[in-house]
Amino acid sequence: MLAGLVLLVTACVGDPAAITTTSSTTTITTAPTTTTVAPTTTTEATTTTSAATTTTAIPIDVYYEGGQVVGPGRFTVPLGEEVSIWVQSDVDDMVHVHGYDLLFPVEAGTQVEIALTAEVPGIFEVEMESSHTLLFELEVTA
Amino acid sequence: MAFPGVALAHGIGGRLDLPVPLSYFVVGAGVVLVISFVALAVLWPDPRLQDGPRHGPARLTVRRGWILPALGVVGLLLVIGQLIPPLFGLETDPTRPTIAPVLVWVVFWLVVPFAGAVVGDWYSDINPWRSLASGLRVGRGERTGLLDRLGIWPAAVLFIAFTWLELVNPESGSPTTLGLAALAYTLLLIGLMAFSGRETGLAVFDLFTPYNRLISSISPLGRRGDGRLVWRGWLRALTVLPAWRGLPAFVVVAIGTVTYDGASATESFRGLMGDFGQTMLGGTLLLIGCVLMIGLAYWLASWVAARMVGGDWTAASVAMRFAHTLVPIALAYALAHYLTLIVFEGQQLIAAVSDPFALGWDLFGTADRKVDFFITAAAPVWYAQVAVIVIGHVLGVVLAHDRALGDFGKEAVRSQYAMLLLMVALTTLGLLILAG
Repeated sequence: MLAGLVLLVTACVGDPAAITTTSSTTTITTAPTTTTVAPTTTTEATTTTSAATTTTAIPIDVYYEGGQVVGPGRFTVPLGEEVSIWVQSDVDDMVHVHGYDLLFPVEAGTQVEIALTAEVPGIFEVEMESSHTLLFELEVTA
Repeated sequence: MAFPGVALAHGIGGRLDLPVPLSYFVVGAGVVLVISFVALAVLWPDPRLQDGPRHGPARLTVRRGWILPALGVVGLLLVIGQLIPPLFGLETDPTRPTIAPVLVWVVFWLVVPFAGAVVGDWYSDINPWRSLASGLRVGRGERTGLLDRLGIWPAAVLFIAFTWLELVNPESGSPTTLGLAALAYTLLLIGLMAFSGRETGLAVFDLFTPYNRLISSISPLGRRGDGRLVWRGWLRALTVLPAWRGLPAFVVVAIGTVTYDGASATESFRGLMGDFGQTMLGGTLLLIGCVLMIGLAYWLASWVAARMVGGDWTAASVAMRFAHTLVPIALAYALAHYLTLIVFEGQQLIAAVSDPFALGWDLFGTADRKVDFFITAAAPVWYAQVAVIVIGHVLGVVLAHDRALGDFGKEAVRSQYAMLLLMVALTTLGLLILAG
């Protein structure tokens, strides 16, 4: 009965979807160019030239260099959006998107795109498979 | 070598719950505060639970059968058996999960104890090490003195080690890691049981024995001396738990480790700890730090309560007498935190039974079943999480009130402020972690 009361009270407070934690991530407005090898020495992630991509997917850039990650930490996207995760690494490895359970090989020095539709809500770890290094967390809001 | 976009399903986790919206947190915490102080005024003035289980007549005769022990042993063999493919160089399919992670981290570690809160201590039947020792005729002479001297301190330490394996060790989803850990634990326990006797060895060293015993004491179902299943009333078995040495520490460890798991996944905690929290050393220290923090809070509350009541009471004696009141809170923490892990990752079991070693088998035609993340939306999970935490809090407050009446008599109301404050703090922390 108590649980019912709590549910009732909680339900009256307002639309839970309206109050979500704000993302502290840096929004990357420019999509990286696809085929060219992006600069490998800079530490800033957003130095690539802007190029209008053909899709409307939300781009997320992550760089993995010398065991260090330059990326958004946690990146929030709304449910149902197309997402393009661009990963550039200085080692050969696999990129693993948990939950969506996607596994993409990435070669040293090149950039790989992982495209997905954010259709499952939750927070999902994206990591380098063999070193278990967390690249960032993909938060898909309900 | 390249299989872009291949669906992969191994390990456990990698998915976190969306933070509970702020409104849920505020309402949950508000309800907790109001209930707590109203409880002091309206709860019964005489102890009601302190006389322990009230065994009714046995309505149901449930014999200790062979099914649960058999399941326990088969489960253990499936986990240790994960060592066979790498040992013989058998090729495994990386796109398939083995049965080990879901068996260890979901079924054995979560479902068995949580279900025990309702059905009673079925782990004592499942316990594969009891069955093994019995089969091997190991540990037939009991050194009962060991339980008096060591209490459950060794189990509390092993509890931290086990959660470290799950939460800090990055290979926690690896079947080989789990196989090795299960083998090592089996050899360790069999050895200790041979030394100290079967039941004593399990009581002192098998961390799952006190853990399941504590949580299942919430259950209204118990066994009489003759092994028959009887109704004993909710929570009643908790009030007569033996005062094992290390009991308060064990409960504190159970709460502290879940606190670490929840807190370390929040954005604010990660921001605070930076890269340090991601390292093995950092994770280890923070895990222990969370346990110590909860322990310090409990010790402080016990100390204040002892001071308020006076007499011969000390912080240590109060901590021992009230340890059981934290058991529902420990269960609520764990249940709220791991609810979706059970609901989502638990589904891996369906696929894994068809191919337990990821060798490409399909024993039951379910090997390609994927986890269905749409089984529940976010909002029902939020409701359930907050409700579980609040219910755990209420049970804790009720138990503490009853124990205070039994032990302190007239001083009960005053002495309760310290424990009440601790429980409000713990519950708020639990909700805060859910809210990210």
